[in-house]
Amino acid sequence: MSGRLPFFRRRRDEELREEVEGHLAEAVRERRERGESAAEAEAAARRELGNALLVREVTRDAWGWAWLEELGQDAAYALRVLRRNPGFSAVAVLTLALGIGANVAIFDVVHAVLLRPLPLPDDERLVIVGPEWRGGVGSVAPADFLDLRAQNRVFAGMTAVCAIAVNLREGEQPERLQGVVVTPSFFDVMGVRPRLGRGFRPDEQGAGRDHVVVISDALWRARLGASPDVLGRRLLLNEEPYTVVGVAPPGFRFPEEAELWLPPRFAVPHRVGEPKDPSQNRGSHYFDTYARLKPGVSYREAQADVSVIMARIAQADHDADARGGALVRNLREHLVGESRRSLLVMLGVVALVLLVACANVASLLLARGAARQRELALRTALGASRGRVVRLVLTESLVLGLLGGALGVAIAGAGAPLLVRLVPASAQNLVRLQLDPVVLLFALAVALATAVVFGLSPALVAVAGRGSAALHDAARSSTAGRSRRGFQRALVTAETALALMLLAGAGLLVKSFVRMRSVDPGFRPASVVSMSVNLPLPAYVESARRIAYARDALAGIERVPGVAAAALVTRVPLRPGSSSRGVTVEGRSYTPQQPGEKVIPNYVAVSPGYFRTLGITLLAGREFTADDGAERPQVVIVSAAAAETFWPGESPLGRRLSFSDGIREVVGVVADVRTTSLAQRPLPLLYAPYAQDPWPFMSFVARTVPSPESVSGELRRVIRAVDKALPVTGVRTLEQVVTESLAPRQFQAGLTSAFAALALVLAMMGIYGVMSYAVAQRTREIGIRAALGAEPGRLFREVVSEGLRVVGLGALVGLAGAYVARSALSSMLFEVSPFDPVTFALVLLLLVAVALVACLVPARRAMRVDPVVALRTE
Amino acid sequence: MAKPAAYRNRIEVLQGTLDLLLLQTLQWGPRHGYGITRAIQAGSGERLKVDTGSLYPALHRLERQRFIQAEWKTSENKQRVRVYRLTAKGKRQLLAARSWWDELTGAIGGVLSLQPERGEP
Repeated sequence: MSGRLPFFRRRRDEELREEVEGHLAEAVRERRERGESAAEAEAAARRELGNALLVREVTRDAWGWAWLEELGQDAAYALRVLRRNPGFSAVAVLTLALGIGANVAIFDVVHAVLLRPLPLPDDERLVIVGPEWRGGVGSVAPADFLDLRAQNRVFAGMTAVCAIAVNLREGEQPERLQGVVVTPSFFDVMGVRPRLGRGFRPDEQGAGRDHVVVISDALWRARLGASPDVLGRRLLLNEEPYTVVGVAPPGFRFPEEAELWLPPRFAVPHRVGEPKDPSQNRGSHYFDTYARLKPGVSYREAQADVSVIMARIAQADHDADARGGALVRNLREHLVGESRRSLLVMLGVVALVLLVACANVASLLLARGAARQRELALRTALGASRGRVVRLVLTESLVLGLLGGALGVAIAGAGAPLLVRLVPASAQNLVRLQLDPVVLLFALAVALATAVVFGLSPALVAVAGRGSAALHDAARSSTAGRSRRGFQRALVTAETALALMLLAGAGLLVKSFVRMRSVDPGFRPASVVSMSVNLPLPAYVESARRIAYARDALAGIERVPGVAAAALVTRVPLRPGSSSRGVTVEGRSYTPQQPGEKVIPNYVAVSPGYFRTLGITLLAGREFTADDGAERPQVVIVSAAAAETFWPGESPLGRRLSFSDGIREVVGVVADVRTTSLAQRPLPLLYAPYAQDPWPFMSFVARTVPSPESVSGELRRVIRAVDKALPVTGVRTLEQVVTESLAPRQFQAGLTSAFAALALVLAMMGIYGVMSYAVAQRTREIGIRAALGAEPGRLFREVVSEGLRVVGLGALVGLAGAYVARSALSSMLFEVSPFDPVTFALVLLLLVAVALVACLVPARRAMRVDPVVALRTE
Repeated sequence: MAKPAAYRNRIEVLQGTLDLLLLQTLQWGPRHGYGITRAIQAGSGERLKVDTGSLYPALHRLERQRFIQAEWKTSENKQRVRVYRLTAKGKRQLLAARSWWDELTGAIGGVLSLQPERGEP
């Protein structure tokens, strides 16, 4: 008994024991002195003393902190019991650790993404403003931004941002960095103070004043050696000197993965025919607009105010591109909103895994409880209250739960960073994963709740079989044993049901992924490599220079041995981002599908060989040729979807499309290409000849005869040779591009499968456990039947069919569960019904196969029961 | 609750008075637990019975409150016993408890000896 006490109380308890023994001895002595016999004296003294254990227990209560004392005792005892059964303990703790770890890891991400504010002060009032655009908030043109800023009455501050690539030259090797053009109030609106120096001054924009830059903490450390006198230093950006005026605080890389923040001037893409002064530009929507709400202004009020201004702009400017309704959204919601659903589904998935783990550990505890039934019965007989025994058993569960929780937190700490891939790439750098107090508190709560869930049924069963009956026939086929088996069976049924749901979910996600991978993207990605170049503006402000650069680079590429075809495009399909232009269909008032919403088609500029290089089918008309130069008639090629949208049922050839910078004639129709995602139906897509619309950035694509990897080094070299100052980046085969575009889905499907596999293994262990226990319990019965001549095969079949009955019931419950949960998953599926019969059939088959394997060993054991041994052991 | 006949003329020590009895018993000199039980039994003409399950918690509580002190001694029986002694603080507590007891018994006695008064009908 004293061994269970914490060491500092052990001595005192030892003394108490001695004191009570002394009491008894004195009583016996006195009685003997009065002439009683030794036996009489002893018996009478003991009777007088009463229950020595009880005396000690109530005396210890007088020491204070009795409950804590008992908890400590129970915990220490539980630890000893666990140490005595290392196999059981390891399996239970590991099972719990995996279940709890998965939950903590996912919660960590959910907490960082959905619950914790962005690392920006008062982020509830930070909003993104813009036209409604494909279900989200779109970008605005510079002139529209100026109008919004001047006319609104709801924002304390507004800033416009536009991500651009910037070439930094330090020494010979140029480097391409992610830059962001921001209006001067950017840092004020974000509420971020640079760690060194300052943000931009209001007058730091426009010609002559805009050569200042704020750099990220990471860049400051990596390229400038974290030098404290960096302020005032010159950096060569796009071949022009810029003065460093500030260093952003550590970790601040917003928006995108910004390394540099620059005043607006770069933002102007300098497209042919565009107004030279950006404040007149209403045709190119390239600014994301962030704003901070004035105190007391609601989102609805802000949205109403912005809508009025946007409607006024649309009315005044008849040539303006289509503008839908205006939206004002919380910035965080805008950035991470789309991951909410998948994160919550994942949270549901891991919760199911944890339930399976709980059921499994409960089942383990029950099976082991058979061996402990005697011990617990003995304790009850010796006067331990029933509450005390329940507490003892629950304490063991708590100890198990806390051990599992601690290990689970370690697993989560290691695993959570991998789960950031559940968040959209653009928001990933805003996600700060840390096992902060909230997450740790969650872990503790999960561990405790888990312990109660899996510990309660064993505890109740422990006291169900009571008194002397349990002493006699504990661990045999008593009523308590039968109720325990019933419990166990219910647990395994639940486990099987949960495992089925998880397997079905994983199967559906995997099938969606496979479906999506087999979608025809509209181009042939095999053997095509792409790499991109960004033309810095001051040097390449003239269209002629860009066209010349593109021509020289393409000529170099075509000379490389192994290159079968080469071309350039302003944006490679399925790469992140989008480019689109407003268009008016000439001679026809185009009817919007929904009021206030026109179709804004995707738009790219390509060189003549593009369709051939990517294997995009020409459906009608002609491809671009070298003749479609800057001075020639403006032409355009439309995708099948564009043709169907603008001229349903008619031939688009010879039709005219009017852009903000001129009218183009349709000379060809090509097959649809999936540009945003394989999951998305192809949107209208317009192609212009690069020579007629030379954007200052491009990707080269080359179809090679040997593998693209073997040629890409040489391709890079010849492109670099055209202009040594320009870095060549983003070298990827188009197969890689396709794979990357599927990565989030693949990850999600893979993760769910991993969790489902875990649940399946746990369920298998559960089935094995309950069947082994059933066989062990019935050893005697089986022995008798074997002695009476029952066939071993029959006994084998009996055990297997009993196992399968449990599994079958679980599967039915699981099917019902899948039906209830169907809506949670359906939005994440692609061309797969949430009740896909093939998936469910396969999952059921898998489950049955696993159940059979799990039953095999116990069934063989039943078959080999030796009647003589079985009967003798009883 | 019905009690076995043998216990009938024994009185269970009232809760709250046990502390007083223990302190009072120790005023006559240090004693061990069993010795205290015997002293109370003998002093009450075998009418008061102190249950072991009440005795030791009370002793340990009084010890924690510093009213008594304990030390290990060896009895005539060569048995190691824990012997309790009254502290100065305990003596003061005993005086306070005694006056409380006197007041209580006086008050109760007063109530019990009250004669019904006859008032105007």
